[in-house]
Amino acid sequence: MTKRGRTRLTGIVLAAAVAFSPLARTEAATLSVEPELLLSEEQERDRLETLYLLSEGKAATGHLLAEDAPLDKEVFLFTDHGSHLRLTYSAAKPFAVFIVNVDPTTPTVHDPRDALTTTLPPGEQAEATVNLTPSPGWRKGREGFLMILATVRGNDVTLHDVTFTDRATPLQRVSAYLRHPWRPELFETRSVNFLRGYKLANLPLPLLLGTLLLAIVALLILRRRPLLTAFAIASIATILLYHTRFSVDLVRATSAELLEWQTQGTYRAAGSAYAVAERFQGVVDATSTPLSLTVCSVGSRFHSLLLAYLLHPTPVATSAESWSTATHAAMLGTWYGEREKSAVTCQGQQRRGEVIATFPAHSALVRFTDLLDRSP
Amino acid sequence: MIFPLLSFLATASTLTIEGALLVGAVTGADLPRVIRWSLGYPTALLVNALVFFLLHLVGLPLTAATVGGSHLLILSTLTALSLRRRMPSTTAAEPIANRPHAGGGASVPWHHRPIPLLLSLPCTISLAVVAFSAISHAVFLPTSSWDSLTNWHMRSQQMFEAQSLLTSGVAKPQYPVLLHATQIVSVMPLGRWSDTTANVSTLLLSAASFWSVFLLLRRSHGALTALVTCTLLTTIPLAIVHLGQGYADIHVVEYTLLAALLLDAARTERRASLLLLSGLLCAAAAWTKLEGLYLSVVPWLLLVISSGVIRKAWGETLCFGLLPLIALTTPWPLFTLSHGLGLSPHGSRFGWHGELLPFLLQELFDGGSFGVHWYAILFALLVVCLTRRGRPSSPFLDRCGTLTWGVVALGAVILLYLTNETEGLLTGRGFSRVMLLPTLLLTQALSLEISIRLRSANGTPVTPPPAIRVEGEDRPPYTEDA
Repeated sequence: MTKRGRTRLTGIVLAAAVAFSPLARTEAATLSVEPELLLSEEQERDRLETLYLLSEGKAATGHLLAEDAPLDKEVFLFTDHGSHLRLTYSAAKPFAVFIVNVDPTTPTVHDPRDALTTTLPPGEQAEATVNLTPSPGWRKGREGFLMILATVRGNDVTLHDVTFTDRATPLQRVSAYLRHPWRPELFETRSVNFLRGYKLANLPLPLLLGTLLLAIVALLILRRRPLLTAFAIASIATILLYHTRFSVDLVRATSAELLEWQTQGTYRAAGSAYAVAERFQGVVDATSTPLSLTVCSVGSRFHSLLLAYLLHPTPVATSAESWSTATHAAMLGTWYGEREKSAVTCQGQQRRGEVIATFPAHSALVRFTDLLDRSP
Repeated sequence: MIFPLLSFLATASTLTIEGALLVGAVTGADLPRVIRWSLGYPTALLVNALVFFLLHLVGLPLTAATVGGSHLLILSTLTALSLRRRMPSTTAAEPIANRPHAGGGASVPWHHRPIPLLLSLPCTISLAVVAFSAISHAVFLPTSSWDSLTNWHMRSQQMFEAQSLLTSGVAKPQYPVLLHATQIVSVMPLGRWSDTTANVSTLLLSAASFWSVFLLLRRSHGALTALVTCTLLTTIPLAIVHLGQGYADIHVVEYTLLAALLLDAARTERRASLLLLSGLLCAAAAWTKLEGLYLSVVPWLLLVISSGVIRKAWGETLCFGLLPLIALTTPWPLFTLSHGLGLSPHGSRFGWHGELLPFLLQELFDGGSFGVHWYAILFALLVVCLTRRGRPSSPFLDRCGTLTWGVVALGAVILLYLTNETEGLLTGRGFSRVMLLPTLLLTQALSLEISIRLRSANGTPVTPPPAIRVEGEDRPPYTEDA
């Protein structure tokens, strides 16, 4: 090759290297985001709590999800499809994004297994590309997404552009599909009514294994096995296959629960309720004065029902029912104050009290000190 | 820690002995001793529930003295009865797998073959995982389920402290009390409520029940069938979760599975005693939860009446089947009705909602509660229809009684949820739990049916356990229908 030829070749190689290098991409400034699967209500609350703390730069007080929580939510419905979602936005503080596949004709109905979540940093005309393929409900060509932006009150998030792109290569798509069934099963703390199961490219795993069962039977029959034998082998194999997958989650979740219970004394959505109950029972046993407990927690009546069971027959009720009359308060997942704090607030109601003990998972047992003021 | 453990062991042992003696009194030597003992605890819990009920009716408080005294009286009576009958200890029927086979040079019959490692290893691992989950949740982790906090454990605690079967001030007072009585009798020696003891008492019921299912299957069908069937039963995902801490649905299922196996054995072996025991366990299902009444008792009665009509065995059907079951199951519904309580806490408005069928099918075939089981059940039904059972040796109901029971229960649940309990179907707050009974019953029935057909296809004769040979007694050998 001549010197001129070598120079030209070198130039071509360098140009190609620049053209295909990450620096050459027009999305050079885009933040590439791998969202998490939204696995539980606790995770959603943790995310929003983290969001609030990031925004405020300090420990927060009060609820994050109660009616007067300092959060705004905005909901968007898209009928597009794609493997990635590119957002161009402006925001002064971080904000959370929740994305889930929906049928555009019934946007209020969605499969909780499909939900993805991430937190985007503040920025001006910032770009972020969110990978949608980790959702078990995602499939190439599937249209319909519901997106919820959650941000602290006063933080305006402006979306300049929302684009769905099909960036996943065939190999990346297959890889994503193979990861879908590994989304953990959701074992709810409060109920044992049903299980959600696993999906692959929005197809239920039982359906796929049921099809596999038929295929195995057909294959064995072609290999001259009797129908009975073929069916017995195929059914036991597919049932044990599903059970193997389920067992991984079962053992993992049970071990995590045991470890959490033994080391922290908390138990999933119940948090520190058991520890608070034990401590309060000690207070009850130490006095002959009738005591009562009001429960300040987020969401349903679960915590108050749990404490009512653990502390029976001591009266226990929700904060909405008994905040102003109870002798003590169980702050479960709602305690962000310092121990010396004397004002105790729950959903806009305030009383004076002193902390008896604090517990993990933002929990505390409080004795109200304004009882004498309230007596006739 | 030691005292609660020792007191629970003492209570459980006493109940087990009482139950084993009762089973022995009912069946004589028709069941091997190991099965009589394994059925002891589940059977005794029915007796315990009746004790609680009767004490309440006569106005006595439910205390350690009254309940303990009642059990002592029952235990003494059963012991005296047992000593009088002098139960055989060494000549009980051996499991079919241990019986020597005819024809020395012939290949080993199917059910005598050792269980292949390819099957025994995954089954054993599967059962170990289930046991790990169940024991962890019942023994080491606290109660957290909504219905337990409001109804099951909470109501048990309230009744324990009130020393009475409360009909007001508790959630769902019309629910029967077998599970509550089980939890209360277990904590009575402690003098205070113990959440762990309450959970362990119901875990022991599950363990004893499934162990009994295994032994009964092994007795009639061999160890391989027993292992595979028990594995299939306990790999239903929602059943595994309920085994740790549930809402009594799993215990209704356990009693129903046992009643079904014993009913099949009663018909196959022509033993009235097994029919009576089957009825007792069916009654226990009705005393556990209301679903036991219409998913266990009603199908059982239909099967027994049909079988009695076909065989024209009215005396046996009436004395060992209908009368005892009706006598045991009617008191609680009458009690609730007499207190102005409806039989169901869910209301009684009926209307057809066929449009909800897709939700129902989705829960069975797409969700995670039943895994692949419903696909296997449907295909198994098809396979059973397409293949022969060999030479039929008994009427259809004798051969497919449990299968019929399962189909009837399935139909009843579907009908209920498409007409009345529609909210439970839409919100998912009840359907899958109630569906556990038809699912496990059909799984058991179809597993046995496939096993029997595989054996007959392999040329292995399908025969029941031999008649018991007791010294000094001449018992007629089993005779098959012509």
